[in-house]
Amino acid sequence: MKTSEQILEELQGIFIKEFSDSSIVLTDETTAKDIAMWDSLTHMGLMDTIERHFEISFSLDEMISFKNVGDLRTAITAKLK
Amino acid sequence: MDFPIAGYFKQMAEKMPNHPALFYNGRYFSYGELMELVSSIQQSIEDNVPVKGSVIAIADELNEFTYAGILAISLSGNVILPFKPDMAPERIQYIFDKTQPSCVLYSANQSPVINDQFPFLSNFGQLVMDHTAQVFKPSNVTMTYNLMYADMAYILFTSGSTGKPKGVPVSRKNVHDFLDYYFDKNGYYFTPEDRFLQVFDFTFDVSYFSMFVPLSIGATLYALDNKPGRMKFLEIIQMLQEHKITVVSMVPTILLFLKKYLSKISLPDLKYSFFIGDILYQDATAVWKNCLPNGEVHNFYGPTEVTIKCTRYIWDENQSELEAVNNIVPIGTVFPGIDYLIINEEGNSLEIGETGELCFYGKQVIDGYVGIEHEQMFINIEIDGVSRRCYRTGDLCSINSYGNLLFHGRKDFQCKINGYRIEIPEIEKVLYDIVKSPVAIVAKKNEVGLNYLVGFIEGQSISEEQLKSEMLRFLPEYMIPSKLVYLDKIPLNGNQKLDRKELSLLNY
Repeated sequence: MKTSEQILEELQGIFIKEFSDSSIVLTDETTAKDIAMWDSLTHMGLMDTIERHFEISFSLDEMISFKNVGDLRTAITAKLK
Repeated sequence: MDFPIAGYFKQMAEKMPNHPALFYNGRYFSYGELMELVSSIQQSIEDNVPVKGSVIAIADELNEFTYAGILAISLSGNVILPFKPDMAPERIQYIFDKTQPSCVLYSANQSPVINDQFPFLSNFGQLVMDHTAQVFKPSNVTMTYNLMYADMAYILFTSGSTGKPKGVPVSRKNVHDFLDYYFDKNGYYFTPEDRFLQVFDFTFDVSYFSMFVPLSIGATLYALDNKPGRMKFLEIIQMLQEHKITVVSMVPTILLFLKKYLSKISLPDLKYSFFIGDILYQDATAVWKNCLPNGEVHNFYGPTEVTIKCTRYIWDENQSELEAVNNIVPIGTVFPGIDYLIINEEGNSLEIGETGELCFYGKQVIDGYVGIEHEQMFINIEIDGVSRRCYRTGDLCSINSYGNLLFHGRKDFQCKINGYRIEIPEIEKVLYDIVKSPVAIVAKKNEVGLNYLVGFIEGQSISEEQLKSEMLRFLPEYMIPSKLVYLDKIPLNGNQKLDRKELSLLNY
């Protein structure tokens, strides 16, 4: 089973690839305003990549509730249990 | 004759002062409260800009001050010039140079940003709106008056093919005629109990529909939160559900983004789901319609130059399946009183069924742009013995056997990104000015059908990150290509022109 730290690490890899920006460093507090290319246009594509990577799926309500990377990590961890 | 487009709002404020007018950032503003704020700003405008018909720039912050400021500019008989404080400073400077506003209106919490990022604003008069609804004018500025656009309701800048944005001045009469379409019913029955959601900012003309229609009939306007980092599409769905919104105008792009989640959404309160700004796809609309057990889907079309919206198609489960071509829903019939033509390359009118460029003249059509450039967007055509000045949309259309207009694509190098109309040459010019080597921008579609831009650059003199940040100085974020690709040589076709076809086949 993946640890919470591994999930964050894998998320970071996904973000770097998705936004072609190797300088991205994710923390639980990271939000879309911290990453220039992360906006409403790129968000759904990012979510899709994350869902496929972890083989999980989010509901629309869950996606609406994500306020930062920490919320995202918590949701992924819960789904992988 | 004057056309006070905010006059209806004033009447409503007198008639129902306690009714909610605006919901923003978790709080309601009643008609009375909003009117109080409007009156205070209007007074300050009239004290400081006594010449009616002056252009007044307003920072589009999408908060209560933006709404009140726009209403105040309109009620004081002046011309609204919206700009987004996060726009590239060079773009704002260009817009201001072209229109010479008498003064700039912004809220006090924007003061540091405005003063820091836009030093050229010190050349213009400034009115700052603060939280106690007091408006003050710095004493050391002089108001200038540009009355060239005195009859206009607003001036918007859209992407321009010459490498510079095009200023579109829209008259009060045009906006009045447009609003009349809704007030003359045409199948619409809005009441003060209706809740409208506004999802666009004021640099996109559909906002003037989303704002002026509800506030003219005593309904409530809900504004999306304008905080940075928001996920707009998700927030729209959340607002629709939470506030039981009854009327919303959106770009069809939202359906492509949310396609796989739509089956789980139910919006029983939504009466009218309006789409505008891009191609509406038949299959996505059929899924969306299932979310609206009590709602209708209307597909609109309207270039900024023909005042917000000028054609309508009411989507129908069975009929639209028959009429959709290449999965594209028709744009329907032209609003009553607006005249149009479909012409060929020679400027001759075509028969029903033939595809050509859609042109408009008469009601709701602008007379011309800011400045003298872009005259090629108009063509004089003799109709019934009279020469008419027609606006060329650049959109290829035909009329089907049901009498509805079908959209077949763009004639030139425009494309839509998230509802924004983009002239590809404008981006190419900026890119070229930075790299000083051959460049090309190609619009492509991703797997769900969304447009995205790929920039091709010959040679590599500057890194991708640097290039993007440099481009952001001149262009809004939605005009920055999603991908930048460096090639040894940009391919040319047999005519030695950029081979866009070959570039579009490259796998990026």
